[in-house]
Amino acid sequence: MAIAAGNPIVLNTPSPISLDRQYLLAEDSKTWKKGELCYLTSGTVTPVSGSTGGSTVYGIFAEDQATSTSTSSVWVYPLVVGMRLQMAVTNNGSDAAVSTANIGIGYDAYTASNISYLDVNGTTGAQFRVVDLYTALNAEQAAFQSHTDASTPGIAIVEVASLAVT
Amino acid sequence: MAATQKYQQGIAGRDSMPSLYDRTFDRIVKRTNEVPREHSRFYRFEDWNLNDYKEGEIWDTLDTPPENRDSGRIPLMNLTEGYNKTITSVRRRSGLIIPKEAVEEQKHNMIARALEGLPKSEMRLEELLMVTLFNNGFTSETTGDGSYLFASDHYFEDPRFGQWANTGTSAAFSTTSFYSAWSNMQGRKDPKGMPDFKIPATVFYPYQIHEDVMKVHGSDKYPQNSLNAKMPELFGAFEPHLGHYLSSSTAWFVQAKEDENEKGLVFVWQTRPEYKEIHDGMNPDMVLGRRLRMSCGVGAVHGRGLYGNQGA
Repeated sequence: MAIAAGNPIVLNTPSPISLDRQYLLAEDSKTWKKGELCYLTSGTVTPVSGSTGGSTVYGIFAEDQATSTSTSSVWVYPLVVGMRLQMAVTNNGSDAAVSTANIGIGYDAYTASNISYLDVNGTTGAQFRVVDLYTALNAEQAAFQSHTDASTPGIAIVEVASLAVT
Repeated sequence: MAATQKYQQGIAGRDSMPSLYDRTFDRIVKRTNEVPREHSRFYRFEDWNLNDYKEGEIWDTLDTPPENRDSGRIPLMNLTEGYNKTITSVRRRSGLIIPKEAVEEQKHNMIARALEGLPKSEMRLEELLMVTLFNNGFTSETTGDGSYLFASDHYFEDPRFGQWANTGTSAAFSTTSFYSAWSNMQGRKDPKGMPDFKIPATVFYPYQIHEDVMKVHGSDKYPQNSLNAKMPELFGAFEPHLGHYLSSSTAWFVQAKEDENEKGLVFVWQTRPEYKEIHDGMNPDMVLGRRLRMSCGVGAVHGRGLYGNQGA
């Protein structure tokens, strides 16, 4: 059984090595899970939804938001250029495999069912550049979990190449 | 002065006294190192300072001394050169940091899990590496002779004596299939075609077939015989060894009685796991930071002391 899709995992960040955290105003009537990606709209943070906001990602939600917000502030880990993440891969909403052919290419993000993916269909913002494959770095663990590059969703190691410009 | 006050005034900071977390982490590492590895009994451990570790098979086999009179020329024996295998170590690193804030927010369980998690992740990797040869031994892991670890086409160094096998027809574990394994090991030959028998010592199997193995191991009667026929002692004369990392739920393996230096599976340590402090000059508020660095590799030089059956 391959590894199921999950929200991005932060592998490391450039110095300072610990994650920064910000308390930002959230858009009303939205819910999300910890680890989902967010973007800024009209001065508030809101979750990436489908490919909306996927090319202008601002950060990662630090906490779950189970009920609709009411103009409250929430904790967010802002992206840092050089930060490395482990991301499941989608192709515009359909789980997709990953291969060495994806390495070096920048893609957008995509969120479905509270899970943020790397979207190999989107290259508008190209904030997330694939730098390696999960199976290459964790060969034994992947083998034990029956996860290969052909598994869907594939798992890519990406680096944040740029911050959102809106 | 209470510990809390000391902490608030910065007296009990990491700079001024040994951190409790530092000492706890060191104890966890020591304790983890003492945990027996599930697969270590199948391996010979070597320490090596280069990336590649190369080892050749060694057979102590010569032809029998030929008839020769004192006046004749002494026949000199030629040793058969064995196959060799190169094992390449892979460098791995990992780390964790615990900021002061995590302590102040009382995330103690999370911190405890992180402290235990790093050494445990290293231990898990050792197990995964070691079980790889069993999981892929029928399909991709090869020994020095180029055949799969468990194969019926292992070549003798002396081609005149053909091939030998350390696997058999796929069959569920039973008295019949175990006897085939016993028989295979008893019938092993050396490169000169002379008997070089092995005695089964351990049966290594996935937990899914534990009952099947226990029926054979724990009984003095044939499990499948309605007449309660008495079973020879050889069926109870092995040590069952349960595997939790095996990917197949049917494959089972037999390890022969072997001296440490006869074992064909080799685990090479280039750098044994070492932990060092992580410091961040831009952020002094880390209670603990540790990085793990290690380098190792596994490989099968030969499979002479092993038998593998893919099961059914």
